[in-house]
Order: sequence, then structure tokens, then C-alpha cells
Amino acid sequence: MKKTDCTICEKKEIAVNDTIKINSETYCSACFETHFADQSKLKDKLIEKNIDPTICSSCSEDFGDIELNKISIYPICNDCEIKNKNKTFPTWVKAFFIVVMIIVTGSFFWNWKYYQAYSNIKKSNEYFTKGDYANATRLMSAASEKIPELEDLQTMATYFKGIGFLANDKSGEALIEFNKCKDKVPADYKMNSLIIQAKIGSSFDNQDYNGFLEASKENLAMDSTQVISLASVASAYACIYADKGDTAAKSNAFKFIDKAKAIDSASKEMKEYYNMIEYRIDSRKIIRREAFIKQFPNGWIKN
Amino acid sequence: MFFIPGELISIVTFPGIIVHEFAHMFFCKLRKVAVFDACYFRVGNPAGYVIHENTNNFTTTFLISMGPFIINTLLCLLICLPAYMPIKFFQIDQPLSYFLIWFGVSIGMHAIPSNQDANNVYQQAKEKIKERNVLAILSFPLVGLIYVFNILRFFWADLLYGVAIGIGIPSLIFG
Repeated sequence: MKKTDCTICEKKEIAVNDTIKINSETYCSACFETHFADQSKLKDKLIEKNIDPTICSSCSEDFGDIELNKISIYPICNDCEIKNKNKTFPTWVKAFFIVVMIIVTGSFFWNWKYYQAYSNIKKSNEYFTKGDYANATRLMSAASEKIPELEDLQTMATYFKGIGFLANDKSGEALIEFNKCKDKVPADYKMNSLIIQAKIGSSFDNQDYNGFLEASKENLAMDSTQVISLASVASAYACIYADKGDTAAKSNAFKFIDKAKAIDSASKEMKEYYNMIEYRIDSRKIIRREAFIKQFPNGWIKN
Repeated sequence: MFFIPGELISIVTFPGIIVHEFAHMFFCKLRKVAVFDACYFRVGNPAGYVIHENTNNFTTTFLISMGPFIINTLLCLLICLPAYMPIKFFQIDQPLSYFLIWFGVSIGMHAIPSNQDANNVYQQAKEKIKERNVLAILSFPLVGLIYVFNILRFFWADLLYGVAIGIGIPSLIFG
């Protein structure tokens, strides 16, 4: 242990660690307390803690006359130096971090299905926008399987499936899908209109021409400004005439064709449609549009 | 603006304090700096501390002082990210997800280094900038931001930071 003298009271042989240097003058504890009871007196003074280089700052062991190595300004014995340099995390902190890592990893695994579902939904919507209903349905169904507790995804998968069926002229199957989800989709999904479209197709496929007419009229009631709605009613009347020979249906068919032509008599698509209805009335043969186009690629002309 | 005692905030967000001190300690170990004492959490002021030797290596000082900013921010994001999707996108209320958000945001709240940490960097940066040390140059605005941020703690800037990292970033990524 190193000793020093107090410059103020001239007390001899005081342990260095029990002194403090203020403006280069060494104070013992008693003098320090006497002179600086009011700490404001220390203002603007250079204060230095005297540190005995033979006493370990960490374990306080006295090494006699041997001056110890320093870490920063502190004398540290070899044992404490090794201990401080190798100071590690306490067990509970290690345990805490293991738990944090388990939580991070576990939650990623646990919630991975949501990210997969999110990715599937994004891709599904992209396919739907492009009109690839098969892939849109497949991915939306996959998303729904990942999160079965979320009914909305199942509803969307059903809706996409219905649209896919409708686009592929499988109106009966589309109608089944639409009926499953009709009360669950938002209003802006135009479910009523889709159901009517599916009913129109389904009743035509089933040769239920009265049903076809009824659904077409429902469609017309929803929007009477659409030329296709008028043409669809005309088509239904034409089917009834072709099937049963009902002359009232025939005149109604022409009436609705005229109404439709008043809106659009120029477009290729509608001209083709009118031509098919007129063929149906004239021949009393009911064929699908695709078959008609195939049979009369340049249109039907009455001889 | 409502006032909640700091000790109460420390208790509620204790994981962040542990991680903050862990980060200081971690970089001390990484840069082989001797540690005299460390407290990872206590009810008091400061709620945690790491006392380590001084070093003249500016990179070491910078890493030890900014350690919590790096580790707390990263962990906040990693913990909140898995919880974001079920809550925000699918509106599924799971206790686990809310636990993760609390855990992550608590850690994020304590990401910003203290003024003492900023001082340590500032004192050395003043010297190192004369040597045109790039890190020292970069650290000046960062230190300024830390001082400003620590003033804004009174207005819950720490909570806002945690929320911005834990919820804001995932919502930027996933919309």
C-alpha cells in the first residue's frame, strides 16, 4: 500500500486511496469534508481521485510495493484483469436471450402460414386480374387452407371458382358456387348480377327456356340500358319459339331485337348475336353461339 | 400529454432495458473491452448500466455506444414482423401476436442510446474528425439526433420509435 501526506493538516502516512487531489493539493478525508462541506466551493477546481497503484480497484487486495497493471486508469491485479476481460453474461441474461431467440424463431415458424397465405392472395389477385381464373382459384384455395379459421378466404376461393366456371360456360357449376358465397361477399362484387348470368347460362344448358327468359328479364330489370340484356331476352323468346312454336314468343323476340338494335346495330359482336337469334327463329334450331359461329363463319343468310 | 413515472415505464418495458444493456455488453465483448460492472435491469435510475474501460479506438467506442441502436432496432423488427401479418392484414386476434407486438415494441423503445452514450461518442469524435475519420464525421448528426430524441422522450418519442420500427416498417413492406 502506498502512503502520502495531507498538504492541509500535514497528517502523515495516509493511505493514498483515502485522499483526493484538488488543484494539485492533497486532502485527507477529514480535511476534504471540512473544507468542502459546501460542494459549490468545488466549482472550477480540478478534482482528481488519488488511486493507489498497489491496490486492486476491483478486489481491493493490497499488493504491498508491487505496482499493478492498469485498465483505463484503474490498477487491476492479474486475477481481476482476467475476470474483467472475460466477464460474461449472467446465466439469467443468457437464459433471457435464449428465450428471445426461441420466441423470434418460433413466431416466424408459427406465423409463416400467414405470410404464405398473403403471398398466395397477392398472386391469386394478379391471376384474377389477368383472367386466369384457374390459377386464381387454386392459389386462393391454398391461402384458405393455410388459414381455415378465416372464412373470408374460403368465400373468395368459392367466388373465384364461380367466376372461373362462368367464364368456361359451366353456368350450372358457377351457380352452385355463387349460391354458396352470395351472402358473404361485399356488395361491390355484383353477386346478384353474376347469379343471374349463371342462371341464364344454366337454364339454357338445361333447355329450361322459361327459366332462361325469367333470368334474362331479371337481368334486364337490373339494367335496361345494356344492349346485351335486351338481346338476351330476345334470345330467350327465340328459344321458346324454337322449342314450342309459340308465335307470341316469336314476335316478342323480334320486338326485343329491334330494341337492342336501337342501341347497337353496328358492332360485330352484336350483329353476330342478332344473326344467331334470327337463325334460331327461322330454323327453330337451338345451338350454342360457338357452334353457330363454327357452322356459319361468315354469318347466316336467309335464302 | 400524460406523465407516467419512469420506473413504471421501465417495469412495463423491461425486455428493452435488458436488451439495451446486453447490446452494450455484447459489443464490449466483441471489441475485447474490459467490463467492470454491469446491471441488466433494476427498478431505479438508471434502470441498467454497463461500466467498461475507456478505449481510444473510436470504432470501438462507437460500436459500444450505438450497440443498443443496432441490436434493439433489429430485434424489434424481427419480433414484430411475424405478428404484423395476422393482426393487421388478416385481423386475427391472437394473444401470441399481441404479446409479440408488446415484446418487440418494448425492445424498440429502448433502442436509442442515452445522452451518456452520445457524450462518449461525441468526445472522441471531436478528436477523430481532425483525422478525417468517416465514422466520426457520420457520428455528429447521429449524436445530435440522439440528444434531440432524448429531449423528446418526454413526448413519448421512444414509444413512437418502437411503434415505427415494429409496425411502421412491416406496413411499409406489406402495405
